[in-house]
Amino acid sequence: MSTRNCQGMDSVIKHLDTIPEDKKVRVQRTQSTFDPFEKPNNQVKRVHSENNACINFKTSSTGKESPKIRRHSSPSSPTSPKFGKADSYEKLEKLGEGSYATVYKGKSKVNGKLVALKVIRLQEEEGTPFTAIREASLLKGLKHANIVLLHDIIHTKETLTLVFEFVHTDLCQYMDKHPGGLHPENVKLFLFQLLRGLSYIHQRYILHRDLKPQNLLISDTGELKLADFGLARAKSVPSHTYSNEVVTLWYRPPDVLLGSTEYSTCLDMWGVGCIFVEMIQGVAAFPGMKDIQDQLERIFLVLGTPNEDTWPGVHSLPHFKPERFTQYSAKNLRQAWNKLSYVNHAEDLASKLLQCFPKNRLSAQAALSHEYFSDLPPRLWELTDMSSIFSVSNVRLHPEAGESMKVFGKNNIYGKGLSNIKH
Amino acid sequence: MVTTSPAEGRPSAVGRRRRTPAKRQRAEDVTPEERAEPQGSAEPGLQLRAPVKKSKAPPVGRVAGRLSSSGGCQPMHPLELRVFRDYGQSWYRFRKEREGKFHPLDPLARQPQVTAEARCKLISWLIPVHKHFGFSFESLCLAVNTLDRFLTTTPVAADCFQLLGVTTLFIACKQVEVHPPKVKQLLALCCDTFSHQQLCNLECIILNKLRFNLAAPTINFFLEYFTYVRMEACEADAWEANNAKALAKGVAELSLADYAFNKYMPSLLAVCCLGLADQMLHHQRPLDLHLSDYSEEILQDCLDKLHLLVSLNEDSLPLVLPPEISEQCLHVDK
Repeated sequence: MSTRNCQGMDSVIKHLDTIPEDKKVRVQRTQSTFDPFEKPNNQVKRVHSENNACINFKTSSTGKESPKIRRHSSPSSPTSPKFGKADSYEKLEKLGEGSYATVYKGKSKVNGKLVALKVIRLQEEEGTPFTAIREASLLKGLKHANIVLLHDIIHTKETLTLVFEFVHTDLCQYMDKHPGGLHPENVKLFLFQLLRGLSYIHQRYILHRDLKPQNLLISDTGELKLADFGLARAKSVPSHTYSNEVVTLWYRPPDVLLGSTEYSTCLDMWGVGCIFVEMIQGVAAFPGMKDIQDQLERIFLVLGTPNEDTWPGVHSLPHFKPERFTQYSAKNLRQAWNKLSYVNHAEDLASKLLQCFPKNRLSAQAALSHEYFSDLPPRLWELTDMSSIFSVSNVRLHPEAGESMKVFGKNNIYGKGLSNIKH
Repeated sequence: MVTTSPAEGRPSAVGRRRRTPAKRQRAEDVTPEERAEPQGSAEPGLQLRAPVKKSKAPPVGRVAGRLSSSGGCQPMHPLELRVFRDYGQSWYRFRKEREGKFHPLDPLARQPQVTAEARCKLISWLIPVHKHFGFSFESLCLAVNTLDRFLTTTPVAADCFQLLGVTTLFIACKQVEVHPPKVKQLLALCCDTFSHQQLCNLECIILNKLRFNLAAPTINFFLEYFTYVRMEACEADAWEANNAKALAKGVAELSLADYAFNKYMPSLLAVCCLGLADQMLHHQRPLDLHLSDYSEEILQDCLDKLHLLVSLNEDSLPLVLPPEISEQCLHVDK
């Protein structure tokens, strides 16, 4: 009875031919007697006779050629944005171009603050890109000193613009500018902030999934902010359907390289380990040159080729073929990256992050309590979400090697503008 | 009318424990007549006629195994358990804190044309649609939440209500699915009644109206969370926990379609669906519903209504359940 009712020609809902009769679901509603929301008119009858409840689709639309969409008495249309006016920001120079967006430096006409305008082209074919939907919807709920702040969203017919706080450089450019490894104190401050930001999003059920130096913005005072949440997503469990094509190869954990789709927050923690090593040593930890195989070889050369003892379940991963990998034994990390030994506890922390077996990787929260950070002021662990670590006295960025007072060279101009826009 | 039918023999909901060894009841215990329906739906993917426009995109609709995963009883992966151990509590607190903010208040109150019945029909249609594509229950929950919240902002004409339904599903899938559907496929689902432009325009309007506030806490999350909590409890029975979760998902799907359940928070619905599932399956160690911090009165009210819903939908419920679960629970309440 229930499934039969729903196929009448007069139905508002057009039925899917591909769904067989016996799979169609017709939920019978519980009575409206207990439902305070129902309008009293005739609702009670409807559990069994829904035909009279629906406005006939055919009759209501015949002869009307006008697009149905106009029938929304919505005051806003995509052409007249409800929030965020396109003309309230002045577009300055282009900062970069990504696969689906172009980033410009911009300036608010209202208060003169600098912003970053991420202009996303709305492709005709599939509507708003999923990356934009994820980034905007996830960032809307995130307010943290170490997460880039989304100020505004401007939606017009052709483009979607995400307006971010302006942060003048990123960790990749910063390391390019200071080759040979960063000042060990700065590494500690950057890593602390990275972990703080990650711990915040992980606690909110969100994975970043695309950690790399380019996505870590660095302000003139040394504040680090996680950015580019286009691949991030709210974690839904069970996570069997994750695409295994998400993380840039160099920062991609071995379990994902081996085809596992069971990843979780520990996915991001591998990237943290790689970035940590790169900041200290001055070279990428595992700069694979060719393909996934090459990337894995580089990892196993240092950490040892995994087996069932070191990594229970590794043999059942889709791409794990023992005969394809040279058998390496695990080494001390300092043999691969000598600068790890210059700093107390750095090697230990790196080795706890760079664990092939995902379950063994330290969580962001646990990493923040590692001894490596023990010489930082205790107040850093008591900060509210929106407080910068640099609000604690004596916490400041150190000049990098070869750097005098001209810390940021040509970028100093923006630096001045930046100092008033923070939060 | 229909309301009265289920009352007889309805158990007092909370904390009822039956000692009958009904657990692991197999097909042999069921008469052929009783079996007929659930078995007919055993392999949904294989019965689908000509798939929508033969798209090259994910062939999930034809993979029977994938389909059941949205409602199936997969055991929790050890990695999930470990991550839940680290973060489960804070995830739960965060989502619980936000669910009120994302809760649509009486979305049909100011709708001149969209009725509770039309909403029921639309969601009853979206349920097999999302399974046809192999989308997760999470996507369905997000779609319904987006739909309801949009309805609170904008009066919608009855003849574009179906377009609204597929568009909210489209947005939900872009949030959480690896392979969101193509616009073309969605239009075909509506028998090409709407144009590409209409769907994309409506997508923009929805995103604008909701200001990209889309990451709503879902019943799906809370089902997973409470199941995890139960697995962690020392007397956990993983078999019972997984079966309860699978049945609860089916009940939760039905409840999405019934506007009367719109007033309940996702966390309340989740815990009550699990409670009801435990009862229906005569589990020895049911979930302690008080984990949810809801009062006895609130839990009982929601459970009673779910019970009514389930008895009204004895025909539909097996269609949304994995066959092994529907075999077990179908007739226990009679």
